[in-house]
Amino acid sequence: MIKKAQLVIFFLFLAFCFARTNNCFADELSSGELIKNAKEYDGKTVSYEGELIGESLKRKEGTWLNIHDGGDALGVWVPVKVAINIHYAGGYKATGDRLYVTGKFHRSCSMHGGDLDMHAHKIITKEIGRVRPHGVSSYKQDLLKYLSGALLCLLVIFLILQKRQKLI
Amino acid sequence: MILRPQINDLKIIGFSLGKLICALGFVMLLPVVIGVVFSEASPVFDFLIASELCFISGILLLLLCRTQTEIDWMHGMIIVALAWLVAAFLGAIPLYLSGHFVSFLDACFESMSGFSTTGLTLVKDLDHLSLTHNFWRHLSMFVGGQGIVVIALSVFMIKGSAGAFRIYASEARDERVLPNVISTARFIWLVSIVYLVLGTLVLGTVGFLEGLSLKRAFFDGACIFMAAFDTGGFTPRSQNMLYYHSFLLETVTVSLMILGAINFNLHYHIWTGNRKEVFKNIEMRTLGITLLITFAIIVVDLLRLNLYPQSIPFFRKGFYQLISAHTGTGYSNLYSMQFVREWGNLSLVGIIMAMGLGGSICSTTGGIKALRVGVIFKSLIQDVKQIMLPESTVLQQKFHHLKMIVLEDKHVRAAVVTVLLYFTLYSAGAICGMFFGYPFLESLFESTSAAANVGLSIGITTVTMPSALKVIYILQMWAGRLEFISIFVLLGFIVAAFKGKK
Repeated sequence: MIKKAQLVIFFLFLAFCFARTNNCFADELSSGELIKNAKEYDGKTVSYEGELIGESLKRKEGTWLNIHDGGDALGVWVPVKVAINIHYAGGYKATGDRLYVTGKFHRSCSMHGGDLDMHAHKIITKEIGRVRPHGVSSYKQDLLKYLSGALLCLLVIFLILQKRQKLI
Repeated sequence: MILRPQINDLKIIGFSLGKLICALGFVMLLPVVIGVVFSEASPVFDFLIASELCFISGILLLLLCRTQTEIDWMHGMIIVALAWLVAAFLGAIPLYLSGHFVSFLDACFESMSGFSTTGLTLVKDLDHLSLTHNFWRHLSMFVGGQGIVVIALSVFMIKGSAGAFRIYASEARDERVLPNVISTARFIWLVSIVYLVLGTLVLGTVGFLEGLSLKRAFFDGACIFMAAFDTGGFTPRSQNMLYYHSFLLETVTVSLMILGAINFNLHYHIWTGNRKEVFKNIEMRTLGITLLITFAIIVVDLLRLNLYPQSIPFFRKGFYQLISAHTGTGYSNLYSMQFVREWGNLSLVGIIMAMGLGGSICSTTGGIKALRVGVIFKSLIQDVKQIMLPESTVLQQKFHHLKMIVLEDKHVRAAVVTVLLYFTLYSAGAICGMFFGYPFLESLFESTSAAANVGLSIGITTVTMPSALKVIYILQMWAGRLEFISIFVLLGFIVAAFKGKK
């Protein structure tokens, strides 16, 4: 009797696991995989990781985040109830926070006018972004100096000749 | 018999080219202002270096090629053909200095794509590109859309009004809104700047309402305006229009793309109150019909595939790509991969047809253009009618394009020749694509997009594509923008330099 019960529990567990794997992809997927196989992942819960790029776009019912994984960027819709804590958004002056998102993937989201997007259930900050230093390299400084000198000389010659011959 | 060019011919070309390059040097100072405003030091240096290089090469040409001789048609054509190549080359310098391009060829591709208002891009990591460089990408579209020569005419006087007109007309435009071509050039810029201010205000406000910060909303607004009105297709974001997730913004850009695809002369008629012209004009009618036909093709295929069962997604994805393709803009709210994986061959053919047809002449769109399609169609009707009527009947076909025009053989011949040349260009690019291993339909899509200066991509245009194909697309963008004649004259000039009689 106990053996039978154990067997039933075992098969129930297997069925549960099977059902879960059909709707959920625990390992994170790349933007390329998601876009390429959008029909396959449509409506499924997926995980995706990447850098937050550009400003987050706050709307009434939530916020849009655009997350780039190195291949492409995906729009992630974050409803008001899901907590987010953004430190840096990626741009010229900063590398954005690295976010790990778990949520429902849509090939053509009916709520958002047919966009390919993800609706976040949970967002974890994997790595806080940082400021990107942008110094002016010495070769650019030197090049500008030499070019300015050459331009000045040419301008002087040009103006002298123009005065003499009324060039233009 | 062709005559070998004289040294004076080279001087005339070099002298005018020098002026055009100096004008480009001035234009390159505008991103410097943006760089200062947004405190981006390194990009400011990139543009100062590029601007100084423009001035140095421009002044050198002015010094070496001093001449008082007036420009004739041949010179005008060659100056324009070379000016676009030189602009793409010099415009690539600050882009390459940004460090966001794998090679100088990629920067040249981006620059040509900008000036020719195509919108295909090879920038690496666009989301981290400085605002200064981004502004330049979009400004190049604004400058290229209105015409590099138009700028030079507005800033510098080209000697003699006849010479000015020749160089102006060589840039694939013949509208003379005002009697004087220099006044026309200045009028074009006045109208464009008025539209720029209004467009930026509208797009900036929409961007702000959709969640962008005020500063970024107006920066993106100005960039999107320049690329939409000039049917370019660049955006400051790697996701193109998808970044904004905004139906409202897409609606505004649809209006701008349509405005950009309209003949500049028609804008003048609308401005001066002659709104009836919109409904009478053969171009507008043809544009309406081709838009309906291509939309019908896409509707049938998307319905068959049941990709967007609801009306708003259907409109946003289907109609938006079509308008973007037909106006030659290249804005997209789809990923390139979605075209390949989800859209059917029939809808891709619909998009290719729309891209190939293009908008109006004397607009910033590329492609065959509605007037030529309309003229060929009218001529076909005339031929059919002529056969059906008694032999003694003399039939006169007319069409309305700003005024009533009697259809003559010369109109039809010019239209057919240009259409054939465009078909050749589209096919040649597609064959080259296939040579590099890409499938037929994808090669044709990308080739048509490049040659018709559209900018929609099916995924071929990437940093990793073969360099030879990059060069081919650059040449296609160049030829498509200038509508062939000036390029043929340049080739003829080169041949004459070697084989012509002294």
